[in-house]
Amino acid sequence: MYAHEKKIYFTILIAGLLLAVIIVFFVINILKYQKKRLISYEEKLIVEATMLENERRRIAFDLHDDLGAMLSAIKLHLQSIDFVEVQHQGTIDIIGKHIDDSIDKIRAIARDLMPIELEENSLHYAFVYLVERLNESKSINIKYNNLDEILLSKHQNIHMFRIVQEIVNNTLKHAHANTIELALSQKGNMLILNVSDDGIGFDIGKIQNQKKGLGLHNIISRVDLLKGDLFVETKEGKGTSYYIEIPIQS
Amino acid sequence: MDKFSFQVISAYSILLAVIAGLIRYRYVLVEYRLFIVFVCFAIANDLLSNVLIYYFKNNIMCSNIYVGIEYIILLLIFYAVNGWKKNSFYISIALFGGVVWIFDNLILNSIIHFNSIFRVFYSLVILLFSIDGINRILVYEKKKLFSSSKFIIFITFIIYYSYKAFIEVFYFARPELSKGFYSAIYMLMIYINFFTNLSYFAAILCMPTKRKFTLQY
Repeated sequence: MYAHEKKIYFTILIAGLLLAVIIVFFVINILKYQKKRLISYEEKLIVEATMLENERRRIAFDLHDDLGAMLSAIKLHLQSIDFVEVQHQGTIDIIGKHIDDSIDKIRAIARDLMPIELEENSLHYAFVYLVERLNESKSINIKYNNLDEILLSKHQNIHMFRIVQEIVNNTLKHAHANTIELALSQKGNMLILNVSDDGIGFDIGKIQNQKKGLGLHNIISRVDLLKGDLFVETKEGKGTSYYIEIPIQS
Repeated sequence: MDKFSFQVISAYSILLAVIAGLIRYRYVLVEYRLFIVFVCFAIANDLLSNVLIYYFKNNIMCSNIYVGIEYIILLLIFYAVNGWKKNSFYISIALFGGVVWIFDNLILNSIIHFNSIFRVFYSLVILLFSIDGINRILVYEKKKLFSSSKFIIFITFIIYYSYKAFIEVFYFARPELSKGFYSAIYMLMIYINFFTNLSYFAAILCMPTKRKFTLQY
């Protein structure tokens, strides 16, 4: 190498070193902020989910304890009235039946909002209740496969239940499915939830591009909150399968 | 327009930023005032350099001192916009810069000569701080980036100081290249300087006057 070439080489070397320092710093720095961003995102999800659950719990207790109790009191007072005419007694019976139906409906809504099984920390029985209630309608057949109760933390139980509730609601609303299969299992330290239906399916790309799918957004948020992974397999006309893996924190 | 005229226009285009800064100084948030001080200092240096060149045909010593002070002001700007935190970190960086300046201008070379080691060093430091600032904004900023004063300042710093570091390497290593080459890379610096001054003007116009309360998420 000639002397003047050596100087040019030296210049390029220093400039290259500077560039390398800048690039390395940029990569490390962006990774640091990505980590901070993830922490902020998780904190945001926790705040949102906690607020939502607290609000649901409050509404469920208000409905069950206040409104339910008030209706029971109305029925009691109604029954204490003495009517001589048979015609009036018949009307009172009908009103009493309406009040009973309203109490049942309020209890069902309150239970949907916050199943008592979840309060008692049993995801299995919460699913059993959900499946039984939905099968009563005869519009869809839901099969639930789970042999044992899997011990999870209370917040995991609540989020898992909400995920299934959201998937089932989506299926009922949009999928025109006849059957839903719900399976919960454990693989090592991972909880596996598999929900599949025989409905019309959907185009994932379309949903993502249209920024639609609030239900899906809720499912993803809750899966993120549980530090899990969600896999969706679907094609138009071929049904939909949701596969969720969550690390167990008992 | 000849090269010299454009050079004069480019150098004094900072006047726009200075005027806007002086008008808005009282109204903008405290952490942004240092940036206005910085642009005022830049034009004061330009004026002083012109006077020195006119009377003594040389402004090298003034320029060597100026880059040292500019480094401190720029560090203060980063210290302020990052929330006046990590005092010891900024003091260490400032002290280290001081050592490099002394080494470059008093020990290794003479202050009456044009020295490049400190210029390369401080350009690199400002670049790294600017990259950190940009990444922070990308993560936390919730409004449009092009109306964010910090974003404009940092992106301009990245453009200006990366080119400055690049050409200072040539002045430091002094490879045997033609005068035309050196003249061309210097001319490019004048265009970048013009763009930088206009960006500073935009940044001052975008400086907020009230602090918004937000959470990180």
